[in-house]
Amino acid sequence: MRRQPDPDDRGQAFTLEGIISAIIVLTALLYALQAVVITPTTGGTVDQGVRTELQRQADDVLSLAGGDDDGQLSELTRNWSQSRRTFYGAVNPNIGFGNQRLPGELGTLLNGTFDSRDRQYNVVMRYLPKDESKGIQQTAIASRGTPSDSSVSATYRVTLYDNMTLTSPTAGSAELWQYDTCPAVNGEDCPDSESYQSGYYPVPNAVDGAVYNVVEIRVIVW
Amino acid sequence: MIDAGRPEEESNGFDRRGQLLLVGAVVLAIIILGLSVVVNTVLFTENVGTGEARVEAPAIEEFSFESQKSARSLMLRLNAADRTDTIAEVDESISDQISAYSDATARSYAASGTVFVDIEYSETLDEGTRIVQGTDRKFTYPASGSDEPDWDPVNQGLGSVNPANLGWMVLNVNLRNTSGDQATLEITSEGGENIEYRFNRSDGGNGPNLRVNVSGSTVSGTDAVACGSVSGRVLLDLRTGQAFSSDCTFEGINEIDGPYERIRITNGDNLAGQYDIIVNENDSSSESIGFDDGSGPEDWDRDCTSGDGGPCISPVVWQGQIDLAYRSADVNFGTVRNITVYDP
Repeated sequence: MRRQPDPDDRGQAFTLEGIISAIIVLTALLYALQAVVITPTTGGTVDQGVRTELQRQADDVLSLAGGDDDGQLSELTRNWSQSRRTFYGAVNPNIGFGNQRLPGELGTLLNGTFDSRDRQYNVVMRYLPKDESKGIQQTAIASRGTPSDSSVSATYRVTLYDNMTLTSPTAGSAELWQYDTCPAVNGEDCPDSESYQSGYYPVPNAVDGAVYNVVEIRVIVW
Repeated sequence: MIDAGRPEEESNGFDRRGQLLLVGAVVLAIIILGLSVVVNTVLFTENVGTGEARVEAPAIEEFSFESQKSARSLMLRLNAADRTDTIAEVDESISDQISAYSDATARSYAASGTVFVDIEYSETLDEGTRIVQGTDRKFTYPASGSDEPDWDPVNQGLGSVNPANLGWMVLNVNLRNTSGDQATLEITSEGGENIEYRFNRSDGGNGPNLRVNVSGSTVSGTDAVACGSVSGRVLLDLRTGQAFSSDCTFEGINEIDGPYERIRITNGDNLAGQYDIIVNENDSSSESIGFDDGSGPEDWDRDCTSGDGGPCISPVVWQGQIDLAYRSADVNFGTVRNITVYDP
């Protein structure tokens, strides 16, 4: 006698198929979602690669300029012209060297690394204020515009000491602690300023003892 | 009678096999998809992990390098700050000022991001001795009765005394009181090599320059060089063989290999000014720093705490140890570094 198909068997098979189909769809969805995160065209990954390369180059430039014992970056921070109230050889206090080449090894490295590839960069020095309650202060070494959203930055810190002198050709033999850090002429707008005799230098004596300040050189590239 | 049920039964058998084949294929597909997800996840996580660590590597390297350089610079300055300090006072001063530097650096890092840094002076590993004449006078030894012009600021000739490495040797010559006649300074190494400097004021004692003539076992005959003065003073680094305030250069003491057995001054009454000599030996129970005032080698006995202007000895830190810490959201870095203040 012919065996009739068992409706329970067919139902179980259909249920199993349904569950498996759901798993397939969910797995595919999960895989698709994950693939989106790591796809080169999403999440800025391609741009991230370029930024990582720029970051590495900026780090290397500062490490090369500051990593030897001849104090090139320290000299740059003290290459100050009191009469022009900006760095010696710079354009003006607002943009510093602007589009001009920076002096010393840092200028050579920045020129060879970024200028030659049509990259723009700003260089600033950031230093501690004399009054700890105030925020960090900064002076433009070279300002070439407003950085884009994809800009990267690299930093290097140098230590200045009380008995150091300015390194510009026009500077005298006065030590750093002898300079006035108030930008007003003759201290007219700086009632709290102590009356030093050796002119203006923006970096104050912010540390007790032999250390004068810790200055951060920051390069922003875009 | 025709069995109408046979084809239907065969058809149901094929359906079941078809369903089984379908289920098998689907299970295989799930396994492949699952493995793809797992492999993909592993690669993704690994990339992100190494990337974050690598990004901070230059920052840590810079922090470590600059911290060591600054600590050495501070120790160098504080060793020479006050010649009347005891070694305990020098240690305390170094510890305090490295702490102030650490605070300043931490403020600088905190202003730029969420990084904490700390630098601590942990201990002095090796003491040295600074032989110093801190006020202007002739390069003589103040013996009882009269000053001795021929003497040895360093003489390690005693039986139990080791030769000394030289870390610093700077003369600050007062040209106005320097004679046109020559004074001689001779350095002899443990290996028997020697280098000799002869100093005199130019133009028979009335000129604006200090003449330096160098000879010795490793120096071929050279002409004397004239080192210009600034405000009547000439600052010479004898180790590197250069003047700080003019362009004159000559063979430095580094031309002969240390350690050194003896530094001898002859006719010291022809030369005037100040000097600093720093060696790695000290006057502790385990080491000794000797001199010779003309009566034979003996241990130095003129301590700078007396405060008189003549040559005397003062303790310095030759090598110290610092602890460095760098902490961020992704990196926790700590290390210990030995700082050798003077490079012999």
